[in-house]
Amino acid sequence: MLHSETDEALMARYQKGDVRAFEVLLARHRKPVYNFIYRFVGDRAQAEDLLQETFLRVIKGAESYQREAKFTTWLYTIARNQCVDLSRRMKLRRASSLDQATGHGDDHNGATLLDVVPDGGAAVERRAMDSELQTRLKAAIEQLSEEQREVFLMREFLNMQFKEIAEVTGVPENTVKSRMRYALEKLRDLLEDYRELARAAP
Amino acid sequence: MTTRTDCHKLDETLMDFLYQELAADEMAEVRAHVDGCPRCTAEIERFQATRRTLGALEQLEPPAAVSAKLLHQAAAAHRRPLWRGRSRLFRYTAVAVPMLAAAAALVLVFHVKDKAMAPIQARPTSTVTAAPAAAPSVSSGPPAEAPMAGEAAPSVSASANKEDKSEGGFELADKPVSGKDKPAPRRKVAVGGGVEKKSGIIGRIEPDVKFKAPSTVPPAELGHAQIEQERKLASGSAGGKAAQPAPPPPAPRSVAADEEQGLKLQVRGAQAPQSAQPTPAPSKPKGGVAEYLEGRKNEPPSTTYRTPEINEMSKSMAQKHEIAPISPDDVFRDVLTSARENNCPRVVERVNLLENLRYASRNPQNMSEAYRHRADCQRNPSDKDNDLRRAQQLRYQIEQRASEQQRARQKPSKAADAPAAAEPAPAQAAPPAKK
Repeated sequence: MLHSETDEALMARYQKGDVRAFEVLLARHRKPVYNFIYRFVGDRAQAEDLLQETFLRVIKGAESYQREAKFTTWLYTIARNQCVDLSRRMKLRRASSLDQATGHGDDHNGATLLDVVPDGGAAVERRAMDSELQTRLKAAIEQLSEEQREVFLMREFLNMQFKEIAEVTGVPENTVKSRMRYALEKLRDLLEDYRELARAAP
Repeated sequence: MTTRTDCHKLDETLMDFLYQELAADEMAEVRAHVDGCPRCTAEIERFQATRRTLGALEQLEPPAAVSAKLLHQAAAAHRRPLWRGRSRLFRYTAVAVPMLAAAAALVLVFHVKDKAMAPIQARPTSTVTAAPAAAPSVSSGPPAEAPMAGEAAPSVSASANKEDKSEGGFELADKPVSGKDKPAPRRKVAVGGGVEKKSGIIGRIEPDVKFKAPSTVPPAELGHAQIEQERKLASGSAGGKAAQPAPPPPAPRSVAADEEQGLKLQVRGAQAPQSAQPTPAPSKPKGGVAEYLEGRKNEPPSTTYRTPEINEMSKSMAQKHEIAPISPDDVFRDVLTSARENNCPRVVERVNLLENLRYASRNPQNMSEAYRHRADCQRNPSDKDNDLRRAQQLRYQIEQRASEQQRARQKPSKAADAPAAAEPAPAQAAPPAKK
């Protein structure tokens, strides 16, 4: 029953003290938010921290949440701000530190790319190839500028509309679309030679 | 059909088209153009191919531990849900027990009416109770429980009496609850045995000022005075375990010295400021909570607690959870009931269960784990929870002291009292008997 309710309705329930409603919200959004954060910061440990921090803010800010506001917009804004803040703090640069769990590195370290690439979920027989592809995709995304990356991730992985992305990032919608386009073009260039591989690994 | 203008238009709306954010008619229009324009078709395809490639990016599952922590936090931030659908008793227990615990920590004294207590009455002796334990262990439980009750047992201070009500201490039960007070014999058992495990913990509780601070003692000093008295009693006389004959200052299960000290600090701080409110104290309830409650039956429920801290806490919690402030009477009633139903030690667990959600263990042995989780949970506390946290902290300190004391007592024990002696474990609770 709770599972069929909208995010906003669930949030209202949680505001009244129904923790189960929060549980449903968490179950519904933790994965996309986690992946958004992970792809944004490029580090799992940090992504876990930020995921936790994001939802903690939801918990703490529950009382001030206005039902008229779209829950996901609010949630994603929190998540995105967490990422941006971290990025500033760490002076994280695109393509930085793939080799350190803490994300401190500054430059490419190709040797460790494979180490960090997540390998869960893929079928065993496909793992090797998939791992290479995953590494490549991850690296490509991290080479996008932060502005392009966040727009790309929100559009592709959070399935946000451009208008919503504009709202979250605070830039005009047209700017968002431009960034999206540049992001896709850049990724296209970076992944040109992997097309075939991608097709082979559905 | 394909015109440069159309191609230009696609260029402008490429992203919208790609993600299908155009209005239906616009989509159709652009689609019509693309279908007839190889250049645009190729362009679109390139983007789509890139998207497909990226679509292979795996989606990771966030660690379950993070979710667990968050749920824990969510519940901690919002305790109310836990009560939902629960009985009133349960609801009160959730709020009341921590409060009561803190209150007990501050030494709320129950008036003992026993004549034996007469001397003491002048100043309520308070045994410090370890909070949660506050639940008076009323022996009401099934017979089998009798021994158990002892554990949790609120120390019935007056003990010696067999009569329920006449007994001092915690007879608390409000009518509904207490109605079934146990037969005298059983009570005895309870008293004697009671002392066991948590015995150190319990003492008499004075719900609120009204309940009675004898005017003789300046309110501010009450806590201290009480403690002092206890100390004296403890050291001077018999281990009071419960059954003490009247004459000797019935040290109602006095608190061990160490416990006293530990508690004293808290008590003093907390109580000092408070002035006893000369509220209409029902004329000194003569004995026990049951009578006290009985006496107050027709009076408007009081929501005033003796110490400012508890008062504050009561108010803020009531506000937070949108419920009427819980009166001391209700607290006692519910805690008592709960204690009867669960045996005192489990009241503690129950509270922890609520507070720690799934982390709490039902096994008292694992309380430390619950504490750990609680500490975890408190790392990011919201200001609103401060009051409750403080109460919890107080309680933990007390519990720990109580258990230390208990351990310490296990050796020396062996209370003088006959009934107590009968019980195997009574000694623990017993104040260091003797001196």
